[in-house]
Amino acid sequence: MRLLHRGRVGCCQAVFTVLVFCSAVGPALPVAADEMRYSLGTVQIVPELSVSPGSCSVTTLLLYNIDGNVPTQVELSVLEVPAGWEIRLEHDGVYSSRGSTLSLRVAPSLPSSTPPESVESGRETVWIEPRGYVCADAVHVYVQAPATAAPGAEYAVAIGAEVEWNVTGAAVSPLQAREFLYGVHVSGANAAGTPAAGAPGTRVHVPLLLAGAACLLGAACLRERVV
Amino acid sequence: MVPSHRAMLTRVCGGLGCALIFAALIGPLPGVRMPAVASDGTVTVFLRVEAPVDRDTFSQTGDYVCVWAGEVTVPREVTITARSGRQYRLFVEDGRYKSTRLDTLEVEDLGPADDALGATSVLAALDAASDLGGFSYQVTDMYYPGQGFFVTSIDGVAATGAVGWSYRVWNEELAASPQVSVERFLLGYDSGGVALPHNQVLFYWGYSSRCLPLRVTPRESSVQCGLPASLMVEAFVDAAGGGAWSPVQGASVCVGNECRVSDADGLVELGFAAAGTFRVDARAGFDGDSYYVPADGLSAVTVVAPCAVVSFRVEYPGNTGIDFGSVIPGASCVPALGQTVDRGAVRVVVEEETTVNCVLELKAAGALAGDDAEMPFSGITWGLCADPTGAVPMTSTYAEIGPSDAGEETSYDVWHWLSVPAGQPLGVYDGAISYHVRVEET
Repeated sequence: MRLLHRGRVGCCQAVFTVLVFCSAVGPALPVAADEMRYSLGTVQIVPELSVSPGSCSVTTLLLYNIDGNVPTQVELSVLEVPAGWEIRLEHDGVYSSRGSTLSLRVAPSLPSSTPPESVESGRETVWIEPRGYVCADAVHVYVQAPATAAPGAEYAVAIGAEVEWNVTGAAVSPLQAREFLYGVHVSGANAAGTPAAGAPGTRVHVPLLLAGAACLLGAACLRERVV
Repeated sequence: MVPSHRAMLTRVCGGLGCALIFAALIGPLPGVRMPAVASDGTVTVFLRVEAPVDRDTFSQTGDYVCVWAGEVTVPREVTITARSGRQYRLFVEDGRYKSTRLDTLEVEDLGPADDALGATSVLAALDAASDLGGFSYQVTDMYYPGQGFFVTSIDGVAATGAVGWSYRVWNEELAASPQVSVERFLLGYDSGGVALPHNQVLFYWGYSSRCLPLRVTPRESSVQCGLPASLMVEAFVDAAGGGAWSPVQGASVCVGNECRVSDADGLVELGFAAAGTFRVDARAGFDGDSYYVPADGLSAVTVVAPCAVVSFRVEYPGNTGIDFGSVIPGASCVPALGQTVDRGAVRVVVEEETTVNCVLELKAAGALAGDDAEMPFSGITWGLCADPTGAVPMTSTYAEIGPSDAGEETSYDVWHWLSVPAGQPLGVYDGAISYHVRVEET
C-alpha cells in the first residue's frame, strides 16, 4: 500500500502469469486473470513411525496444488527433533542439509479420473477422494535415531511448511504455514550392521555412513512401490 | 412336536461400519476363511441364513434379510427332532456314520465316516447355529422317504410350493450346491464332492438355482495410501462340473452408508478416510432372470495408514492480493481494495478432501515496512463480516478464524481495514499475513 498526500491517486496493479500443468494428469489450466487462488494440499501418509536405535526410518509427505492457479513455493524445515537425532528431507534427489530448509515449487495441476501413465521425477500419483488422481510432489522424511536411543521410548518430530506465493504488486503477501507431527517409537533392537564401536576417528563417521546407506535403501524401496 | 429354538432374533450379518477413505490392506474378515478343520479335529464353519424381506413380494424384489450369520463349531453328533415329532441321533461309530431313530431304535447306516471328526453334517451346523442365534428351524423326515431330512422352515419362514430353503457349501473356489440332504453332507470331509476347506454354509430362501450368491473380492492385497480399493462383485453360477463366479453389473457395494454400483466388469472402487477395518457388502435385486443372495459384509477393507489430507486455498478477488491502495495518514478503517459487502478481501477455503478436523488461523508476519519506516501491523484489523466495528487488530500470534470439519468444504471470508496514524511517514509499506492450518488433536 502507499501512503500518499491527500488528493494523490494511487494505483497498484498486479500482473501474473500462471504456468500450470502437470503433464502427467491433464491439460494446462487456463490462465486466470480475475482471481488469484493460492492453494496447497498435503498428504501425511502416517502419523507414527518406528525406528530402532542407530537405524533410519522413512516416510513420505505429498504436496499438491489442484485448486490454485499460482505456483506454490514451499519451504520445509525441521521444527522439532529429539537431541542427537538426525532428520533429513529429500525431494527429487535433493536433500536438505542439517538445519537447512528444503525448497520446492508445487505447480498447479488438474485432478484426473484416470491414473496417469507416467509421472515426472519427484512426483507420485495419489488418489484424493473425491477429487481423483492427483499428481503430487513427494518429499521423503528420513528419521535417523542415534544408537543410544532407548528402546521403547517415544519421541516427537515436527516438520514445518512455510508456503509463499509471489504476488506482484500486493501490499500484503499471503503466507501459509502448517506442521506435520510424527510420533516416533524406538523399537527394541539395534540396527543390524551398526558397529558398537570402531577405531578412533571412525566411531562417529562409520555409523553415519551405514545409516545413510540404510536410508538410501529405504528410499529405493520406497520408489519401488510408487505407482 | 415342533422343535423350538427361538429365544431371540439376532441379526449379525451385514453389520457395516461407517466411514470413508485412504490406504489399505484388504482381506476377508477374520474367521471367514479359516480352515474348516482345526488341528484338534474340531470342524468350524461360517454359517449364514438369508430369508426374504417380504415373502409376498420376493418374486418381484428379490430382497433378502440376514437372519443370522456367525462362526459355528459343528458338533460331532446331534439329536434332531423332525416336524413329525420323531427324534434322530446322528453320530459316528466305528468308522460309520449312523442315524438312530430314538423311538424305535432303528439304525440307518449312512456310510463311512471318521470317528475323530464325527457327524459334522450341514444339519448339525444349522442346529448349532440355531442355538447360537436364537432362531428356529424345522426339518421333515417325510418329504422324500428314504432321502433324508428336508429343511422346511427357518426363523418362521416356511417353504411353499416350489419356493423353499436351499443350502450351499463354500470353499475357496466354489459356492457349491450339494445334491444331498442336509444330514448327508459332512463338513470337513474330503468326500462330499466339495473340496476342502469348507469355509461357509449358506442357507437361503428362494428358487434354488435361480438364486445366486454374491461375493465381493478385493483385487489388490494392498493399496497405497490415498488410492481407492478396487473390488470385484461376482455371483456364483451353477454349471455342470461345479460352476463358476461371474461378474455382476449393477450390484450395490456399500461400506456403511457409502455405496457404489458395480460396472459391466463387476468392479467398483471405494475409498476410505479413516483407519480401521470396514466390512464391505454387496447386494442386487431381482434382474428379471436371477435373484442374488447378498454378500453380507464378508469381505473387509482394513485401512492401515491413516493419511492426513489437508488442502487449503486462499483466494483474492481481483488480482491485487490484499492491498489498501493509497491511504492518507490519519485515515481510519480504510477497506482493502476488492472487498465488498458480500465478499471479503480474502477467502480461505478448506477443501472437501481434507480428512482431519482443522482450525484456521491467521497472524501478521512481521511489521508493515517500507521506505525506512515501519508501521505496526495492528493498524490492520480483520473480521468475518463486512462491518468494521467488530474487527480486531492483527497480531503477531495466531488468531483463530474458525474451524473446519473433515470431509466438508469450509470457507471463510475475511475482511480487512487499515487505520494509519496521522504522523506516519509517507511511503510504500509492505507486509505479509500468514494463514495457518492447525490440525486438531484427535
